[in-house]
Amino acid sequence: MSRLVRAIALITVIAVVAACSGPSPSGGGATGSPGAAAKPQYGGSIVFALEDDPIDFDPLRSRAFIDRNVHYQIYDSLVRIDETGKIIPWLAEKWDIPADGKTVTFTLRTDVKYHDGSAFDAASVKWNIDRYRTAQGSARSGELAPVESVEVVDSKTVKFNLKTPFSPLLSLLVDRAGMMVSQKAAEAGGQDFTRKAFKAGTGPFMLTEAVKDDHITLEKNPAYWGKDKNGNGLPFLDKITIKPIRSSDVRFTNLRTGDAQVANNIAGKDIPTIKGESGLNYQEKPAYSFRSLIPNRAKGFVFEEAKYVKAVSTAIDRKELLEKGYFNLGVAGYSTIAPNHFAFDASFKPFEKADPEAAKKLVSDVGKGPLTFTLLVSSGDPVILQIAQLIQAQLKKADITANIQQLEFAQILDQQSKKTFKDLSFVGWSGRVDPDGNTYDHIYSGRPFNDSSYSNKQVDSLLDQARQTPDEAKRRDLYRQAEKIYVQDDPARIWLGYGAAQLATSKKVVAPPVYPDQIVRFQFMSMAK
Amino acid sequence: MIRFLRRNPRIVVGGSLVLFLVLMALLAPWLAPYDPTLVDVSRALEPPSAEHLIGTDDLGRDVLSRVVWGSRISLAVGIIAVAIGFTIGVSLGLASGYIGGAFDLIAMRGIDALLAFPALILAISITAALGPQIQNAMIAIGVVAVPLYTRLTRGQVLSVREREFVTAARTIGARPLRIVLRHIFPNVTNALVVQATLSIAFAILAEAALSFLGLGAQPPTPSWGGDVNYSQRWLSNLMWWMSFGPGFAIFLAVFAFNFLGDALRDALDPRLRRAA
Amino acid sequence: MGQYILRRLALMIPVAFLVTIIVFTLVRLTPGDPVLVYAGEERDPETLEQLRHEYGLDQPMPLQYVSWLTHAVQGDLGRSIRTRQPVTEAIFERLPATMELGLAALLISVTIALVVGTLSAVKRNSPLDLLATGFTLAGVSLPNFFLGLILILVFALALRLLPPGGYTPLKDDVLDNLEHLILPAITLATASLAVNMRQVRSSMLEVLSQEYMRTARAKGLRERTLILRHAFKNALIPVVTIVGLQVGAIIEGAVITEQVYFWPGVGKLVVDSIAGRDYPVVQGVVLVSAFSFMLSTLIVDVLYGVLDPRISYGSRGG
Repeated sequence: MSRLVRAIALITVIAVVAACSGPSPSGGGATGSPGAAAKPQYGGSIVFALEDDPIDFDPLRSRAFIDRNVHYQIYDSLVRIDETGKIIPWLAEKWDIPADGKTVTFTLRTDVKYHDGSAFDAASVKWNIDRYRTAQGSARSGELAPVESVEVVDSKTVKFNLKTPFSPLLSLLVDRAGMMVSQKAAEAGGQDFTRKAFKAGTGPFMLTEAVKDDHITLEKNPAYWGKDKNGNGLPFLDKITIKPIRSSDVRFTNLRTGDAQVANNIAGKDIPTIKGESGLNYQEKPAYSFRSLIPNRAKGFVFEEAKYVKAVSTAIDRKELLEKGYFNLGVAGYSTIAPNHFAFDASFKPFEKADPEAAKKLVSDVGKGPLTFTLLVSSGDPVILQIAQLIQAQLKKADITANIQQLEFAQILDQQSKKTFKDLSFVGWSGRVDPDGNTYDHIYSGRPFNDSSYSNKQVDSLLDQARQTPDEAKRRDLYRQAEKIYVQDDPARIWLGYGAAQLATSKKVVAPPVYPDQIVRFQFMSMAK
Repeated sequence: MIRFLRRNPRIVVGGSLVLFLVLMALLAPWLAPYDPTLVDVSRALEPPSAEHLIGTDDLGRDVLSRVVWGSRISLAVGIIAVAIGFTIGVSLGLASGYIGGAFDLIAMRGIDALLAFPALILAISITAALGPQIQNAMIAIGVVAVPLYTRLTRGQVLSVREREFVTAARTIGARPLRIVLRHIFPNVTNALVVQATLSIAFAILAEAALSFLGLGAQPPTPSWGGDVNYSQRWLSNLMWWMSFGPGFAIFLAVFAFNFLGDALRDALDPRLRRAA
Repeated sequence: MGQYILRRLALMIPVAFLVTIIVFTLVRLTPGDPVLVYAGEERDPETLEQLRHEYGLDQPMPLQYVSWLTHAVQGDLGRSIRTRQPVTEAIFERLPATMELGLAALLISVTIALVVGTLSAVKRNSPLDLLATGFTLAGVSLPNFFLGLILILVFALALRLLPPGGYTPLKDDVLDNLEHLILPAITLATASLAVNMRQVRSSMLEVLSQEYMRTARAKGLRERTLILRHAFKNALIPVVTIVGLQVGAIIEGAVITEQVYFWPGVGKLVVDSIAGRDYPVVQGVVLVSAFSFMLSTLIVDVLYGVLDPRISYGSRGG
C-alpha cells in the first residue's frame, strides 16, 4: 500500500534541481559523460528500474511526473536544461526576446527529422503548440495560456506572440509543453496514438514496445541529430528496457544483483548502504522540489489565525526532521524557492532553530487556550507517517497537540481542493525549473494549488511583477520580497525542506551526471569499457 | 463445569491463551515497561536488549510496549466486529428462516450478493467509503461476517422449525417471536458460540490486514497490523524486530481463538466435528 | 440436471444485479475525486472539467449507473481514468500473473494436503497427525502478509537466494519467472493448505469409518489398495468442492500477497484502483471476481452431483 500511495502521489514525489555553474556546450546541445575522456563505447543494452509505471506517452495528455522518464528519451523539446539547470538550446538553436517581453522568436535546427521520416520545421512547431493549446483533454493548455498565437516566419523561424509578457515561458518549453511530435504520426494514430509502439518523436531513442506494468523497450534512433561535446554521435546505447518497480527495496536489490544497471529514487535509509557497495555509483543533487505542510487558512478553521501557523513553524525542528525522518536526503528549508533557483537566498533562515518557548508565547498571545489540531497524512505510507509522528512529538514540546489522521490520498486531495480539510495537510511539490512554477499557483489568491486559501494582495502583486519582468536581477528581488511575507509575516504554509535528485548506477555503465529534473539523460550513457 | 473442562483439556489450553490476551489488554498500563507513544529519536532503531526486550522502532519507541498496548485494539475489534456481525446475522437468519416466503427469498439473495464479493475487497471498500477509522473497520469486518451467521441460523431454524415441540407451541397459540426465542434459539447457541469464537480469530486477522493497508487504527495508537506495515521497510536493512513483535502477536492471538474455537466445536457440537 | 443449471443461472441474475448496485454505491460513496488524483500536478480548472465530462462524472449518479450497467452487459467495462486503457484489457493483461500465482499456490497446497492429510487420517493420533494438525492451525492463524515478510527476510534479504518481489512474465524468461514465483506461491499456499489438509483428513476419516470400507477390509483387501482405490476416491469429493471454491476466489485470495510481493496481478490492480478512485477499474474487477466466484460455486455444485450420485438436484438449490 505504501508504494501504491506513492505511485499516485506524484505531488509528494520526486525532484527537479539545478546547481548553477558551468557553461553549456554548443551544438548538439549535449554535455559529455564524466570520465569518458576518449571515445565512449557504442552498443550494449541496459535495464532501468523506475519507481512507477509511466502512464501516458503523449505529452499532450500526460499528467504524471513519472511519464517524463520516457518522454525525455523519445521526444526533444524546443529548449532543455543542462545538468546545472540552465536553459540551453535544443531543437531551437537560439531565441530572441525583445525588451517588452511580448514575443519570443526561435531559430530552429534544420537537421532534425522525426522517427517516421517527416521533417521538423517551423510549421511543425506551430502545429504542436496549437495542438497543446486547443486540443480536447490537453493537460498543457494551462501552461501555454499566456501564448496568444504562433506564427511561422520561415521554415526555420517561429514566433510566439504573448498576451502579456511572461518570463517563465522558456522554462515551460523545456518540458512537455515544448516537446515536438510528428503531425503525420499523431494524425495517423488518432487519439490513442501513443498507446502502442509509435514513431512520433525526434529523440535519441524510439519506443518499440510497451507492456503495461511490465516493461517499456526503447531502441536507438540511428538518425539522431545530437552529438556529445567531443563530436561523437549520440546515443551510445542500443537498447533501454524500463522496468517499473514500485518498491525502493526491490529496485535496490535489482541493482545489486545486476538485474538492473540504473535505478532512481532510492530510500534515504538505504543511501549509506548503496554508497558502501563496491559495484555501484551513487549521485545526488539538491532538487527544486519542496516538502511542506498546508494549513487550512480559510474562515472557521483553526489556522485562520496566522499566529498559530507561525507557532507550528517555530516549534518544528527541521534539522532533526532531516536527520531522523529523511535520513539526510535533501536539505532543510523554509520557502518555495529552492537552493538552485536563481532567486534563492541562502541567508533567509527564519525558523532555523526550533523554539518551543517562542511557539508557546505565540499560542498564548492568541488567548484562546492550548492549540490542538488535526494533521492529515496519506494512509499507509510509512515514510510520511514516521515524519508526521516526529513532528507530533516536536510540537508536544511546545504544548501543541497534533492529532494524526490518515486518509487516502484521493480523499485528502478532494478535501484540499474543496478547502474543507482539517487542519494541516502533508503535501509536497515536485518542483519546477523557474521559481514561478514553485510559487505562483500555490500562493497567489485563488490559484489551483492554493489549498490553504491564502490571499495577500501585496504578495499577489509581487508575484505578478515577477512574471512580467524579463530582467533576472529584478525578478530575484521581487521573489525575495514576496518570500519574506508568505513565509514569515503572513505565512501561507509551513515549509520543511527541499528534496534531492538521485541516480544510482552499476559500474558496468558510464553514467551521465544527475540532472536537476531527475530525468536520466540516457543518450549520454554508455557501457563501461 | 469443572468436569466439562476436565474432559476437554484443549478448551482449558485455548481458554488460558485467550485469558492471557485479555489480561494483557486490561493490564496494559501496568505491564508495558514504557509509554508506547513516547518518541525518543536518540534511541531509534535499537536491536533487542535488556532495556528494550524487542528493541525500539524508528522513532525510538519501545516495541514491546506497543505490542502490549496493541492487544487492546485487536481484541476490541475482534469482539465488537463479531458482535455486530452476530447481531445482524443472527436476527436476519432467525427472521428469514422463521418467516420464510418472499422475505426469505429476498434476504437470501442479499446474502448471496454479499458472499459473491471478495471478503477482503468488500471490507476495504466499506472502510474506505466510511472513512479509515478503527470504528469503521469494525463495522466493515462485522458486515463481512454477517452472511456466515445468517446462513448458519437460518439453516438451523429450518431444521428445527418443523419439529414437534415447535409445531406444538405454534398450535397452542404461542406468538412467533416467543417461539423463536424460547424454542429455536437455544438449539443454535452451541453452533453459534463455536462460530463466534472462530470469527473473532478471523476479525483479528482482518483488522490486521486493514491496518496493514493503512485503513485501521490511527497513529500513534499502537496497532499490530499497522505496526507491521509501518516497520516493514526496515526488513531490507535486516532490522526484523519492529515488525516481528507485532506480527507474532497477531499470530498468537489468532491462534488462541482458533484453538479455542476448534476445541469448543469438538466439545459442544459433535455433529460439526466430522465436517471439520 | 440441465434444468437445475438453468434455474441456478436464473437465480444468479438478481444476485448479480444486487452486486452491481452494491459495487457502484460503495465505490461512489467513497469520498475522493479521481480526476484530481490523476490530474496530478496539472490542476488547471478547465482541464479538470473536460476530464470529468470525458468520463461522464458530471452526470447524475443514477444515470452514470445505468450507462455503466448497459455497457457492462455488452462486455464493455469502460476505460480506466488513470491510463485510459479499456478495463477489460487491463484485467486480461493482469489475469495471467494472478492465475499463475493462484494456480501455483493451489497446486502446492492441494498436493501437500492430499499426501499429508491422507497419511494423517490413516495414522490417526500418530506424531505425524498431531504435527500436521498443529501446523494446520498455525497456518490458518498466520497472517498472509506476515508470513510474506518472514519469507522475504530469510530467503531474499538474509540468504539472498530469491528475489524479494517483482514479476517476470513466463514467456520472457521461464527460470526468472519461477524464481519470482516461489515465495509468493508458498505464502499464498499456506493459508489454503491448512484448510485443504483439514478437509482431506476429515473426509478421509469419514470414509474410513464407512460400512463399505469395513466390508472391503473384511474381504481381505490390502490396506494400501483399500486406501488408494476406494477411500481416496470417495474422500476426494468434498475436497473438490473446497478447491473449486478456491479457484473461484483466486483474485481475492491474492490481494494481500500481491501487495507484499509487488506482484502485478488483478488483486494489486484493484487495491491500487480503490486508492486512486479509478471507478471503472474497481467496478470492473469486483464484478469480474464476483462472477467468477458465483460461476465456480455453480460448477462445483454440478461437479458434486456428477461425482456423488447420491445427490439429486430436485431437492437442492435456492
